[in-house]
Amino acid sequence: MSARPGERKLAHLFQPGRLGRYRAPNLIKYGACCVSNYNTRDGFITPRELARTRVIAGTGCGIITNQGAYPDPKGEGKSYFRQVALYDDKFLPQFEVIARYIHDAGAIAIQQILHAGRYGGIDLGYCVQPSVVPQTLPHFRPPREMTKDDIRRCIGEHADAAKRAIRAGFDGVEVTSFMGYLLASFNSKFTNQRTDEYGGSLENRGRFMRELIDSIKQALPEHPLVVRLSGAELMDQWGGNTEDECFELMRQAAGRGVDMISVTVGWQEAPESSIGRDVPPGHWNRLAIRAKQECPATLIAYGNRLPDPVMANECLGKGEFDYWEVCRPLLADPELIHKAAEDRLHEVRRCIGSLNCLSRVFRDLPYSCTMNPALGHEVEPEYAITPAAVKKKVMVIGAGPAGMEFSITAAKRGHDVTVYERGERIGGNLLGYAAHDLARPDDLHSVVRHYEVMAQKLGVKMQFKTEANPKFMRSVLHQYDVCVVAAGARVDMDAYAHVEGRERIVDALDVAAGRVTVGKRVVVLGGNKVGLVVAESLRKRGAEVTLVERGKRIAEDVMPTFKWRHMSWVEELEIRTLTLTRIVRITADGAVVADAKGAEIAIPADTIVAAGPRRSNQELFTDFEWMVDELHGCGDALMPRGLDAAIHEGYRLGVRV
Amino acid sequence: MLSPVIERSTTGKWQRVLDRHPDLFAEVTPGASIAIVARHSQGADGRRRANVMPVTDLVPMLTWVREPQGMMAREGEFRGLKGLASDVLLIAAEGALEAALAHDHPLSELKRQLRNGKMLFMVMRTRDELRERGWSDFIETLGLPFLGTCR
Repeated sequence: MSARPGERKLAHLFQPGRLGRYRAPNLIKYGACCVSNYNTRDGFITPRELARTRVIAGTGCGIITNQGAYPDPKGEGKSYFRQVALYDDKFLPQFEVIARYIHDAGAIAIQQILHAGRYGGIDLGYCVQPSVVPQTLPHFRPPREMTKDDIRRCIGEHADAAKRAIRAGFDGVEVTSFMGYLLASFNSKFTNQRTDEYGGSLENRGRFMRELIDSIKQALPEHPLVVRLSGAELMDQWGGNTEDECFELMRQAAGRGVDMISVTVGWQEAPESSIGRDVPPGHWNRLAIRAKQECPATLIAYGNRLPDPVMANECLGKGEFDYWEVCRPLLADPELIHKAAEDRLHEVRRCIGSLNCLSRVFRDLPYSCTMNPALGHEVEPEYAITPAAVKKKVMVIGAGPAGMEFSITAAKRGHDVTVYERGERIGGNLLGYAAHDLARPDDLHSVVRHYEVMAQKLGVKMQFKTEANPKFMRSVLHQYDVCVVAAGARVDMDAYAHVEGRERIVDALDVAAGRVTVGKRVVVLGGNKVGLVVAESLRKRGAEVTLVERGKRIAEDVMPTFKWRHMSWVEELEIRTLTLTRIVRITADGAVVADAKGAEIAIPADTIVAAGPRRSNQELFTDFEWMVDELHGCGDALMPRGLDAAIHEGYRLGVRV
Repeated sequence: MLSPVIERSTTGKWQRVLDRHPDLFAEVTPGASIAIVARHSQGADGRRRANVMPVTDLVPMLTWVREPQGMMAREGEFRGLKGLASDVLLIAAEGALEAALAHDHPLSELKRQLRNGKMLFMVMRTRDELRERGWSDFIETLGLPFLGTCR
């Protein structure tokens, strides 16, 4: 069979590979980067998980790693609320189904064993570690030191779980030390302070890993073993391993005959970011390159902050590593590999690195994806895009993410969709947000580009510079069956009606969109997401900025995994922040605010920017109520929230109309 | 040279810092405390070491302890993690505490240091116990719930 056009372009990525005695159709490994939390509290795989895994199996990856299962009956290794277990044969039937799905798709099936160690014991009052080193994150359990008997038992449980995975039909297993799990905490001198043969020197600290590898390899000599190891813990300033030590541990693993090393970066507790949106793609590639140099005879898989198949193809071509390991980009778009193979990369819905997936997992919720509203709902027919029974003419008010997500979903179902947008292009308020984003604006622009490409491909008609109002609606009366109001939200300027000098206040969304120019000294009213983005951007561009927030804290509406980033920017940029403070009046010299005790503070400023509260643009619901058969709304037009809610609501409405 | 955190002058300075933030510690229960040690100190053998490691010698320590009159800065001795009665341990990199005290807003500086790794925060109790002992506001203010989770 001749190669598809994208396979010829990305020839390195799509060349066949091997893992042990198994042949992989390409050099792409689906990484078990994120536990789904879709399963039962006692470790059984659910239909929801099976449906999700079927999608994963169909991604087109040459190797599929199934998410990490904890190997011990006590649950000391259990890190996530609804994590799967593999400590007993009673769990096997569902693993057999998953292995079959993966094989049916033509991929090598790997089962990950995840003993979370320091981050485990979620149902217990403790976690286990090589030594008692207290937690640095309150989220996790107090540690208990493992005895030598515990260590021996733990290694045995890993080997038993590995054998069970093979019995279920998997081809190989993976043991993970990702982000500080048990294996990592034995390897690291931050958490391993033992004085016996398992602690102290690098040789001793690596003993647990070597015994673990030996135990599994002896039990399963014919089956490949993958080990995930840190190329950099990012914990060295707190006594963790240096990069040199990390690579020495990799050499130890390679020396023990592991078939593949998957290179990871960072610990949960590390003081710097490793996989978030603020880390540029390719940033950590050097670690994979070094791993390949240090362990030339061992396959190296790598993918941390490497979401782009084109970049991965180049790296593979240069021999920097052997397999591209990818997960989150395939959560965002399970068709990524197929689109790459068909030279349709421009249609890919990119992972924007919001870490919504992990934010939810660490709140003990099932993971979801900002960009893929169907993720986790594969088992529910209601979330599937199916041909509409009645093809309708649909008008959409607003070309922001909610309106566009609805439009492309409805168009895929066969509806005839026209979008009316008062601006000149797709994007809505996301464009302003992207223009001022300090992390990685291209991630947010990619959302806009995706909608532009898909609207064109699906024949969604775009009518720009069109203000939707009753007069306009009368002009198109009876032309549409459905109207969807996705007009977003605005800053509620009425909230400042009582403020003396309110006419001097400008709207943060106008500032973000470039419709208003601000001065050199700016007061931003509202420490929410909108206010923060505007304040940070203006400060970065040289303005003197004061952030005034009525509440106790700033960033209350920011996704948990990104709050720290905004807090950090506010501090780094030295943005003066006044919480529990309200605006009193505005004068020609600036703003006068009052703190919680009522004490007034004058802040010299030439521009006062209102960033909150926000108010939904809901007026059209009333205006259009008697003018169209079906009237719906989605996104911020219903209630001001964010990108995640906009996309998900747009999709849910799109599959239903 | 031993850590400057035990010097009387700095204890007094930290007391003034605590006095500026009574709201932050309003819910903290009597007897609850935070211990602060410098990351490196010299042992009797003259070798420097990180205090995350087990210690056998006494290391000077600052504590913020809740007393009837409010949050008080006290001097103490760190004997290692196992013997520590405090609820929270802050381990400061060299110069971090001095830098915080020199700052107009020392607690803001501590927060910044937590983010950039100049200060390590260790919890000696469970999350629920910390909440019951009134540390929620302090922990929230330092931004600790937002750290971690695969950044």
